[in-house]
Amino acid sequence: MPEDSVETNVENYMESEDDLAEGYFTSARNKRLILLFLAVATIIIAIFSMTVNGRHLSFFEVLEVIYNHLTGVEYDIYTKEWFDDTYIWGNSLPRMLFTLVAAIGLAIAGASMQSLMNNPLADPYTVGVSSGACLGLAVSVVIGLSVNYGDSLTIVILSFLFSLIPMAAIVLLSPKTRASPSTLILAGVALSYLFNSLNTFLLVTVDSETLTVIYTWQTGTLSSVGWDVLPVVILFVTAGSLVVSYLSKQLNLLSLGDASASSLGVDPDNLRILCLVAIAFIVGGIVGCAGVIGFVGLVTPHMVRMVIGSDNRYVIPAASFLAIILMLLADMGCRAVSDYDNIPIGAALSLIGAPIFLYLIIRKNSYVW
Amino acid sequence: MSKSRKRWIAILVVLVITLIISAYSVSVLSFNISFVESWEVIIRHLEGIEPSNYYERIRDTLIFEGNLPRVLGASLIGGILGISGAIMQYCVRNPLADPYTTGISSAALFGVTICLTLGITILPLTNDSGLVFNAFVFSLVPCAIMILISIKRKTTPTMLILIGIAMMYIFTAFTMVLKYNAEPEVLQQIIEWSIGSVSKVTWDSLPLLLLSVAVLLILTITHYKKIDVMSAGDNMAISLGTDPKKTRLICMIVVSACTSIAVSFSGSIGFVGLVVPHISRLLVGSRTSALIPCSAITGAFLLVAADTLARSFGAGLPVGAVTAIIGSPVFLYFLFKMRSGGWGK
Repeated sequence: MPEDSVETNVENYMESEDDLAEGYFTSARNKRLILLFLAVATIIIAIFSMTVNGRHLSFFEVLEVIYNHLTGVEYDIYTKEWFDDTYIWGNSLPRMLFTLVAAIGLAIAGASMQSLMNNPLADPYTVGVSSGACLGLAVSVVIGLSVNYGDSLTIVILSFLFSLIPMAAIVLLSPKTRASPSTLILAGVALSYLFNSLNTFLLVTVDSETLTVIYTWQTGTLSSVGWDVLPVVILFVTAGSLVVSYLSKQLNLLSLGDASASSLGVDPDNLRILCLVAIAFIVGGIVGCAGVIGFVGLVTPHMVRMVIGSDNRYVIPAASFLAIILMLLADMGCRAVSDYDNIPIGAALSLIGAPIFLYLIIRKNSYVW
Repeated sequence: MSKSRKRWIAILVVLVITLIISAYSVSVLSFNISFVESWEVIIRHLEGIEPSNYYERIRDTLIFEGNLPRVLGASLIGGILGISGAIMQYCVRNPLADPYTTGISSAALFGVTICLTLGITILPLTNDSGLVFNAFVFSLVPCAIMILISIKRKTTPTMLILIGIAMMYIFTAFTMVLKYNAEPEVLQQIIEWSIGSVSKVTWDSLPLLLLSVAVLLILTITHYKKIDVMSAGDNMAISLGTDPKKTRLICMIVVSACTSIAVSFSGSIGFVGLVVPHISRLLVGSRTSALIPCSAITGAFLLVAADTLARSFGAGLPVGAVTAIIGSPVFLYFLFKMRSGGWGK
C-alpha cells in the first residue's frame, strides 16, 4: 500500500510537472503566434503606408513601381509613371524604411533601458542623448548651417557627435563609484538639464522663424529623411541592436537584482555600461536624422509587457513590431491630414497610442513591473 | 543625537544662505543701486513716507512693486516645488519622479496654449488672469482622473506613474496640434511659458502661494510618520498599521493642487522639483521630518539664486535655464562624491 501511494504521488507529481511544461510551451507558442501576427501586420502596413501620398496609387501599384525601379525600367520625363516613380522611390520608400529602422531602434533602446535601470520611467533618452543632439542642432544653426537646404548630412553628423557627449561623460565619471542604476539615471537627468539649458541660452539669440524650425526638429519629424542619411541610421541601429539582443538573456537576469545577477555570473556594472554605449549609438543615429521622437521608446515596451509578460527575449521583438506599426500609422495619419507634411509625428503618435496605453493600464490592474 | 543635530545645522546653514541671497537679490536692478539704499527704500515705503521726487518714485516702484514680490514669489515657488518633489518621490518610490509626474505641467501648458492660440478662457477675465486661471483648472484634470481611477481600481505606485505618463502624452499631443498652426510670436510665448519664469509674480499672487506652502507644511507635520512608513514599502506600511494607499492618495492630491498653483503663476519650472530633494537627501538623509524642511529651503535657495543671476546678466534669460546651469554641476558633484544618494542598492 505505501509503495502504491508513493508511486501515485510520483505519478501525480510527474503529471503536474507535465502540465507545467505544457503550460510553459503553450504560453511560449502563444507568444510566438503573437509575434508572427505582429510581423505580418507590420509588413502589410509598411507597404500600405506608401500608398498615402499625393499619387492615389493602390497597394499593388506601389509594389509594381518599386519592382520596375529595381529592374531598371526607364520612363520618359514628366509622364505619370515618371512622377509615380519619383514620389515612391525618392520619398515614400526611404521614409518608410527610415520609420521602420527608427521604430526598431527606439523600441529596443527603450525596452533594454527599462530593464537595465530597473525603472519603468526610463526611456531611450534617459542618459541625455536627446539633449546632446538638440544642442548639436542648435550649435549647427548658430554657426550658420541651414536646416532645410544642403547641409543635412553635416547636421546629422554634428548632432550625432553631440548626442554622445552626455553618455561619454557618464561612462567616464562612473567607474570611480559603483554605478547603481539610480546614480546613472540621476546623472543622465542632470546632464540632460545642463545641455537643455545651454541649448536655451543659444536659442534666446535666434529669431522666431529659426526657432520654429529648430522647434519642429526637436519634436521629431520624418519629412527631411532621404536616401542620403539612411545608411548611417541602418549602420548604427543594426550594430547597437545586435549588441543589445546578444545581451538580452543577461538583461533578464539583471531584473532579479544586482546581487542575484552577479551570483549567476553576470557583471552588472559592466553590463550596464556596455548596454548604455550601445543604446547611445542607436538613439544618437536616429535623433541625429529625425529629431527627438518621443512616446514609442517609453510606452511600447510597457504595452507589450502588459500583454505577453516581461521576458526580454519576447518583449524586444514584439515591442519593435508594435513600434513600427504605431509609427507607420502615425506617419500615415500626419500625411493624410496635412498636405504640407508638417504635423509633428510625436503628436500623432501620442494621440493614437496614449488612449490605448491608458486603457491597458486601467484594465490590466495586476501589471507587475 | 549628534547626527540629528548635524542635520539641523545643515538646514540652518542653507536657510541663512538663502536669507542673505534673498536680501541681496532685492537690490539687483537694471540701474545701479546699493544694497543699503534699496533696503532704505523698502523701509521708507513700509513706514509710509511718500517718495519726494521723480527719481525716488521710480526706485520705489521698481523695488517695491517689482523686485520684492518677485524675490518672495521665487522663494515660495521654490519651496513648493522642493516639498512637492520630495513628497512625490516618497509616494511613488521613484527617484525620477517630480512634482509634474502626474502630468500637471503638460496639462497646464495645454490650458495656456488654448488661451493663447484660440483665445478660449474658462472665466471671462482680462488676458493675464484668464491665462493663469486656465492653467490652474487644466492642471487639476490629470489629478482628478488619477483619483477616479484610484477609487475604482487597486493602484500601485508604478501604475500611478504610468497613468501620469499617459496623461502627459495626451495633453502634450493636443498642445502640439494647436501649436502647429500658431504664429511664430505666439509660439515663442508658449515656449517661454513652458520654460518657466518668475517675472510675472506680483503682490496679488503671493497670498495663494503662501497658502499652498502652508498647506504643504501642515500635510508634512500631520503625515510625516505615515510617509516615512509608506516609503518602506506597502506591505511594511500595512503591517505597521497604516493604510499606504490612503496616505498616498492624500499626499498626491495635496501636492498636485499646490503644484498647480505654483505652475499657473510661474510656468513649468523644471529641475527644481526633481533635483532639490536629491540634493537635500545627500545633505540630511532620507528621513521625512528633516528632508522636507530641507527641500523647502534648498528649493527656495536654488530658485532665488537662479533668478538673481538671470537678472544680473540682463533681461531675457529664462530662470529655468539658469537653474539647471547652476544646479546640475552641483548635483553631479554631490551625486558622484557621495555615491548612492540614499536610493542606492
